[in-house]
Amino acid sequence: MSSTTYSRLEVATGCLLASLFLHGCGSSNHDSQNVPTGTKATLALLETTDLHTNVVSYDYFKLAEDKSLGFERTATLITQARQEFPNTLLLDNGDTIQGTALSDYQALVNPVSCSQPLAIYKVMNAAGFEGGGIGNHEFNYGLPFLSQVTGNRFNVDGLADPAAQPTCKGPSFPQVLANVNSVKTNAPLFQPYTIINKTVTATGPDGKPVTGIVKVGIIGFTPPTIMSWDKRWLDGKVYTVGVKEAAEKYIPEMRAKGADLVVVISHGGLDDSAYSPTMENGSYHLSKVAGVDAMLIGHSHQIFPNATSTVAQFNLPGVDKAGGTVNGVPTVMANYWGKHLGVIKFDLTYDGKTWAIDKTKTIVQARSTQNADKSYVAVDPTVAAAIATEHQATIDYVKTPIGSTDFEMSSYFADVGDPGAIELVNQAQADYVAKYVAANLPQYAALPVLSVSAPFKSGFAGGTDYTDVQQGNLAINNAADLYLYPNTIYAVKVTGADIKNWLETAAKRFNQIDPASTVQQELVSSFPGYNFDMFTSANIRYEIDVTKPVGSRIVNLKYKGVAIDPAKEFIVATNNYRASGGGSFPGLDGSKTIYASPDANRDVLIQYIKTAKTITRAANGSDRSWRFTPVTTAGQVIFHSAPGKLPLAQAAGLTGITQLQADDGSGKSLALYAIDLSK
Amino acid sequence: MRLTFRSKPRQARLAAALLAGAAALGGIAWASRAPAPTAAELTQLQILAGPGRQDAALARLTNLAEGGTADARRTLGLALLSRGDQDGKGLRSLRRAAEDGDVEARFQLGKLYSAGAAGVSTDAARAFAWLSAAGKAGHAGAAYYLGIAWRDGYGVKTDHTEAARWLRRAADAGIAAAQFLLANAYREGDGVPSNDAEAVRLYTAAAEQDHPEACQTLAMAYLNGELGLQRDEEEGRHYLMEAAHALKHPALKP
Repeated sequence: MSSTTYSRLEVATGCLLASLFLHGCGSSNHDSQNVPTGTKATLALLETTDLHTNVVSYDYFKLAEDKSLGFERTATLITQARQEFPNTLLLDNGDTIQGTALSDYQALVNPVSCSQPLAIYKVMNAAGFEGGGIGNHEFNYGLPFLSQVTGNRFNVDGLADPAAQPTCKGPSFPQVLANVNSVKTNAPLFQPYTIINKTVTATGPDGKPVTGIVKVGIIGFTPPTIMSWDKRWLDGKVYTVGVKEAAEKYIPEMRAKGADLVVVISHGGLDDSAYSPTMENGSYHLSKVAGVDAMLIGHSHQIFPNATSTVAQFNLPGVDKAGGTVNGVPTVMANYWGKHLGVIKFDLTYDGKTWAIDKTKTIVQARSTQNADKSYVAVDPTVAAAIATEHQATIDYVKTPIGSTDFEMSSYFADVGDPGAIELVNQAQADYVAKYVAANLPQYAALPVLSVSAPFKSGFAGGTDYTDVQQGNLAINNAADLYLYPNTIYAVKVTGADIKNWLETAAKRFNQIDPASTVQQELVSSFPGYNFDMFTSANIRYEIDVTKPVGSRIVNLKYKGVAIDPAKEFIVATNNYRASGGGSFPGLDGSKTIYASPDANRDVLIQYIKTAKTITRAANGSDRSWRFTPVTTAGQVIFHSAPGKLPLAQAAGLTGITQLQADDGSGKSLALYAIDLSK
Repeated sequence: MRLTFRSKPRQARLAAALLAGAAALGGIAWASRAPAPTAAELTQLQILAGPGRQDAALARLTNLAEGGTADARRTLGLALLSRGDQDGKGLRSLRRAAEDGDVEARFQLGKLYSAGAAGVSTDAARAFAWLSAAGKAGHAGAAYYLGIAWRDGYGVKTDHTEAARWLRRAADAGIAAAQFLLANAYREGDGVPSNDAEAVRLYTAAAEQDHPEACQTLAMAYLNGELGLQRDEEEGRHYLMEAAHALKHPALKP
């Protein structure tokens, strides 16, 4: 034990405390083996990982079937494996309880009650899982929720004393996690490991069937980087222990308690750089800890083994991507969302003391729900049936009106000035950031908060590639039309000069127009619409002079009616993509971010609509911050949009637009429009 | 992820591993001349003393720092800073380690002056000086921040060629945020010759490490046929889902 560390005491004490308050450090049940020496058994470990609450093959945003995912198909692979192998042990790697509208519904919208298991655990219980690990996403909803839904009573700051907590309905299988401890007690949050007494059918040396017990020890690990990712829930409440240190502590204990096999359930990929107790992907180093018989890994959303994989982590020294070993340890990663099932088949022989693995017969596979002909295996109908109520409630939630709009919110004419599909997003972002700054960033409280957004759908793929939300009720799924991308809200601190540069970059959206030219000129360039950031607020006004070259088009930039001071500071609400450097805007590369919110722009928009209830053209769709600098052109200036939408431009108050041809000849259901820039 | 581009693992320097620390916590008296702790052990102590709020670990770090080496003083400084550093002892300890030549301490101090913290005002010139010291010694994290400093002119006059040079060092060491910014530079021809293929290669490397903005860039590129890529709806949708997923655990900045 040359690598004994300071953390040993904490780890050891943790186990002791855990055994007092939790479930103990594994059942040290020393059942004597009643099988004769020489008995042979086959045991297949089955792994699911990163299920992310994909129970049914269904996309809740599209409200449509998606056969490529869902545990209802993985369950069929499980059934097949159970028919193929005489003994199987079904284990889950983690990232199980978060990731779909169903999980948000059960965690945030209509939180699951103490007496009910989560839908995903309900189907896992029914499928006969016998153990599970804990991923990083398990921490996404906070510790009280995790404590409840796993049937634990965490002893951490922010929760009542465990004696005063109810034990809620959790999974009916043990969950293990060895490298996260409570700050309050220094004890592990979950039991670090357990030993499963697996009853197996085997063949005695005389060739006759016998029943025996294989003691399978399972130990779990999560990425220590949870401390950064879920800092808001975890800081001051729990801390992580290095995965290697924890494994070196507990695996000998597991062996001492009679584990025949030690299975590491590590929610992390492979990284062979120098070991650190804070590294995200510790599985490569775990494979080198003495006494590990198999690793079920996850987190990376990849397939292992996979002989053709080009993924860097599967092409490291010591990794056999075809055979499925890492430094000689059989290892499987079963992709994500139930797309694959991991299989590690062991042939075991009882040697009088323990079950020994015949390493020449081990088989490692990641089995896909997709068949060779691209079709998918059939569903196991019992899975969807078991959670029909939760599934329907989630669909109802996604369809529930959260407000209404008195106008059709569309992006058909966003390039020429209609803010109708953008202003609401800007208002929601500005409102959210202003409230956050007021409450949490007093040093910036005096700075004005502005917001930018862009027309994410601007006809690139044709006439149907526009945002178009009908007048009437607004539901959750409409918010996905108004905010297309998976982004989180970021706030940046910039100067007036930075704002001008920002808008100059956005104005690359337009070609330089020659007023003297008599031929038709295309207004819109190849610069993507999703980078055409704009303000939509009465407080900020500017013109875009498309007759000028890129970099000198923004004129008459004013804040509250006064020319903007290049040195004056502002806060601009935007998204992670832009704030971190997406689109290569000058000075935006992460260095100006003052708040990186974990909240999605889309969710903030939903909340804003719920609060406002009634969205109106007057209040939420008519603040044009920018106009083209008026210019008379000798020839026509043209652009493309969906045909027959002129009334929408007129409703937005845009003048000088005409439809020239209902079909622009592109074959993409686009019409040709002209804009009179003198208007 | 490899965090040094001039490979000189600290572990080699501190190869003599130790028993004494654990022995003390296990109830056995301290050996009078304990071997120096390894980098991993210092990191674990930093966690226990910082996020773990363990006073025993903090006392142990304080002990190590007083008697010992720059890396112990740096670790103590960072642990105290993560606990709020009420009396400025953390900053002093970190600065002492930096002055004594500890490269990681120089990097951390540079970062601290860049962003500021409780009791530490932002100071771009100081930040640049410490980051330069660390960067020249081969620290990849420092190279990333130097890239940004040269790009935006923090503590130095803007120079996009120099920015790309530093970002290249950080990107080659596997820092996702640097791979992303360097990819942007190749896309725009900003400080480097325009090169879409190299941009795609770097975006993909960053995306593989769960860099959400790189995932999103590739999503839009595949959906729209940008960067010399063939339009590929399936690949675009895949990267969009990966972007959503990566947001919950983005590749961390150095």
